[in-house]
Amino acid sequence: MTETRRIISDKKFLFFVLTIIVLNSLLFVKEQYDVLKEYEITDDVRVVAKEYKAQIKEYQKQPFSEALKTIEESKKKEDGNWGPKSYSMELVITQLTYLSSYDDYLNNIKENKKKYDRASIFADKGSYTYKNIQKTVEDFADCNANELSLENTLGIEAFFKFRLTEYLAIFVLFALCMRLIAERRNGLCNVIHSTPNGRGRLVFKRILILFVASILVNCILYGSNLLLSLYLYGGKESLFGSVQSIERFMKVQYSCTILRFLWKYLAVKCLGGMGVAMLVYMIFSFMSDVTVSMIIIGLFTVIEFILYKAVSIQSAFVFFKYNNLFGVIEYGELCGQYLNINLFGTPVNLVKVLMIIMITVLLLTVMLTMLWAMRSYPNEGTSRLLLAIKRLWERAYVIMTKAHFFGFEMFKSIFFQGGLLVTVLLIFVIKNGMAGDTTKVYDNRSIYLNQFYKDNEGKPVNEVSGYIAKVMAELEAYRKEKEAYEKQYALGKITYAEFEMIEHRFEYIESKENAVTDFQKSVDASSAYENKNKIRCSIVNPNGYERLIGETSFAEHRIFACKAIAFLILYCYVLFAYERQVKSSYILRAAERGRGAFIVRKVLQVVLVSIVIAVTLSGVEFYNINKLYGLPGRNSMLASLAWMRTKSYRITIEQFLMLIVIVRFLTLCCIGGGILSISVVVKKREQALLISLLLLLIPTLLVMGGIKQGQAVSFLLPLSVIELLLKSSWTQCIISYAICLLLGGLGLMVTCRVWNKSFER
Amino acid sequence: MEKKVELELKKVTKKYGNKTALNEFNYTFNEGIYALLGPNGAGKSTLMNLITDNIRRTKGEILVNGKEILTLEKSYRRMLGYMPQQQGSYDQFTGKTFLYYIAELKGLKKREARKQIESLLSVVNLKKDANRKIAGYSGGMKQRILLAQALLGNPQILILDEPTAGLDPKERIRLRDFIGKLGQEKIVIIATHIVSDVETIAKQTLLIKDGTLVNSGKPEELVESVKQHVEEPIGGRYSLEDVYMYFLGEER
Repeated sequence: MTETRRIISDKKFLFFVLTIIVLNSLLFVKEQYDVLKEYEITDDVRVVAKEYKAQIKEYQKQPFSEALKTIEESKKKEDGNWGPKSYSMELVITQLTYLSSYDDYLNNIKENKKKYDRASIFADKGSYTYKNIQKTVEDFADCNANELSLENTLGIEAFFKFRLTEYLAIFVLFALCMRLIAERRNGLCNVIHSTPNGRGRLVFKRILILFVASILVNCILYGSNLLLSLYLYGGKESLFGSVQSIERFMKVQYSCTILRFLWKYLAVKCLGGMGVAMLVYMIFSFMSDVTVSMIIIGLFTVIEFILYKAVSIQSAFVFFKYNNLFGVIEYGELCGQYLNINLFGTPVNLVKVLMIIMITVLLLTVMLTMLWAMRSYPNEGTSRLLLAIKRLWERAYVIMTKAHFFGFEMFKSIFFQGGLLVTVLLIFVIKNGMAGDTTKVYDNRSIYLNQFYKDNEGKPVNEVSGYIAKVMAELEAYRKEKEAYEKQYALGKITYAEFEMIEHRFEYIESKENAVTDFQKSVDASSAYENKNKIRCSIVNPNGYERLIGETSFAEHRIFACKAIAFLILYCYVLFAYERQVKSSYILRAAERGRGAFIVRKVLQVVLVSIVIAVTLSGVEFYNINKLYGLPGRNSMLASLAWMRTKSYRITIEQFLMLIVIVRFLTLCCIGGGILSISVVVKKREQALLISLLLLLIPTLLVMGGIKQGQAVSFLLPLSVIELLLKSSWTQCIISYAICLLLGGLGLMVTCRVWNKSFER
Repeated sequence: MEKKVELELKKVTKKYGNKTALNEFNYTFNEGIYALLGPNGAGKSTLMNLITDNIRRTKGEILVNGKEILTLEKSYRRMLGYMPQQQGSYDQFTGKTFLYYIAELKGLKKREARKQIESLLSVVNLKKDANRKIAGYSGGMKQRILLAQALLGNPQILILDEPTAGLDPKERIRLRDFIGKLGQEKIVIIATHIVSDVETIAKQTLLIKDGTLVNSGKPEELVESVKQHVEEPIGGRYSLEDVYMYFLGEER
């Protein structure tokens, strides 16, 4: 009991676990909005879910093929009206297409076997191929009785699509393993090892703690995901439908409800978590040195990752691809697959093999850890690996002694004050934030409009009238041709079938007409502006820029502001607080360059970190938009974008984007000044972190959550830049940034005063 | 009355690669206080770690009442109380909670643990700070809580590594007197640099240098033996310091 108490009495650890739980939920919700954004849906998730539910209800009772035909017809009416309704229809069409084809899939399996039976060259009944086909037929025999249905499965699909939870759970269990070996870091190892219950019995208790923790962590994290999915999308009733009603689980070869499948999934995740945690704990137990253990765990993880990613499914080494640490962690990917692997000429189901190996590893690690605990010695001397690491570390120190004073501070920041971890986190956030390969879905009007912009990109607005005239003439010709065919049909000269086929060609005339009208309006507006303000406007496709610096970009910029503030706090909260907490401040302040010059070094660190954050996070934004929409015509004047004309800027789009990054950097520097003042005033790192989060990040999060009053005390608008520029007057903008500068300056003054003069009593 | 304990070390050797940390150490400990004196790196901590079975010996035997400690396992560790030199503890625990934690590891039942903890907190003068977190303790207070945990379970063999480091003179005298009483019923092995702490209470003094037992004996006998070889100190009073300087090759 006291061992459990020791773990849960650590507030830092509890705070960390709570943070992971909250982060998991926030990121889950964020992903649902990101998915919609990829399809250019800016409505709330629940609005989309409501539309989707309505579609399901409408077509649920009909046979699949009939429902499919009906909905496809209805979808045509929504052409040109891209939004939640048409998006939901697309989803339902995809579902119905799959549901209609499921029986064919099962029949194909049986047909395959018949084909192989008939063809003489493949009729070797002893071959692996034949056995595999035979096994597949047997395995899927149960599925013939499955009754699939059109269900609201959006929530369940969102649940399985969200993969981050798998890693977060492992991360928490890893942190728990570190807590379990805390006596190694605080010098109690020998004391505990010399007590009667300080070996086998203690390790046994710790193993139990790991098991219980794995169950709790997985239940809480996955449970919260499930609750959120059901809250956002509904679909409680669908839990009792057949799991094969979801296309992702087409290849599940036994009959069960979605609910039962979820239970199984959770059980496997708990077991997998236990297995991974035990493996980590076993390595920690075997190695007396924590550093060496971390290196081994790191190496093992890298090797497993390479095997998981690099080995192909067709390879002879496919066994190692999935029976692998990442096969366990990413079980969500595997659980819907049907894959047999060749085990000494016999096809064996991959998932079953993975389960057996998982349980074996679990039992083995428990046994070996217990045996080792009873026989091992905590102070068996220094391993060669550790000696090698120590030598490398000493070299790093030698290099640092030759470095400029600033280099020492950076070294401290990175290696002693958690900077390395924050940098890894930043890289992770950047990598995660980068857009993957997505297929953009446009309606016909948008497709034509994009083409017009592409054909005229960068041209001055007064040079496109010829192009527009040409398109209009083309459309006129099409219209006349269509009218001629209509007359022929009316006169009975062509049949309805022939007329229908011909009509298809003219289906998109209306969309193209709408597109050219919109294009013309945009050109006219630009022309009018150019004539009035004498600023040259060019043809620029506004799609990407709307999402980057238009009104639809506000949400993204707010997220940028949150991330930037969070990372700045994580890097900078510790700069002075660390010195005070470890009591090196007394020595530093007594040194010649320990006051003013020292403060300058810290300020330089803040500046450097601000540059990195501003450039990298802005870079991700620009990269994503460029990848999804393109950012053509960057050398055009900013006024080429309609919504930017309100403030009469005389700079190019590219210059404006650079200006945004510079303004963000300067604002971050001001915030950094504030963080420094907090860091120097408090005596502990934890206090500095908490106060910084409360004063700087929480107001920002409140504004994002819809509490507008938070704007007055948050840096959200100055950091997001665009929202402030577009929503406020010049005066308001200047005042906002002046206040930022003032606060930053004030922070710096406080820092200087406290560090140089009035120190702790 | 507790059964008398005899701890015997026979040719106990510990090597780290080519370096011999302890070289064929032979000694028998009975009830009483044994002072281990030696310079840094002499092998005192190695000896203590071997006795507490925290490191594996290269050669030799360690016997308690004639039985090898490796075969006794738990029952041997039940006799042990160990206070290491490093001030390791769980900072987020209060002093009392930390003692309860160690008590559980020592296999004490809750009622017995409560009784002993209350008594020990008075002995080490931490009763009013018992419910404060160890993170807030001064160096001396941490030292005292570590001593208290070593005394939990009423061990028959007490290993104390620099027990008075960080204590003010008043506390040092108090602790010295307390340890002095313990020595009547237990084997107490103290490693220390503060010679004056053990001079009046130690039954035997062991002088270790470079992993070898250089000399041993009652303090007064050792002092007598160096009088002929060492110049009379200022004040005319020879002490264990002179013994230390003479036998361990250190010059004044």
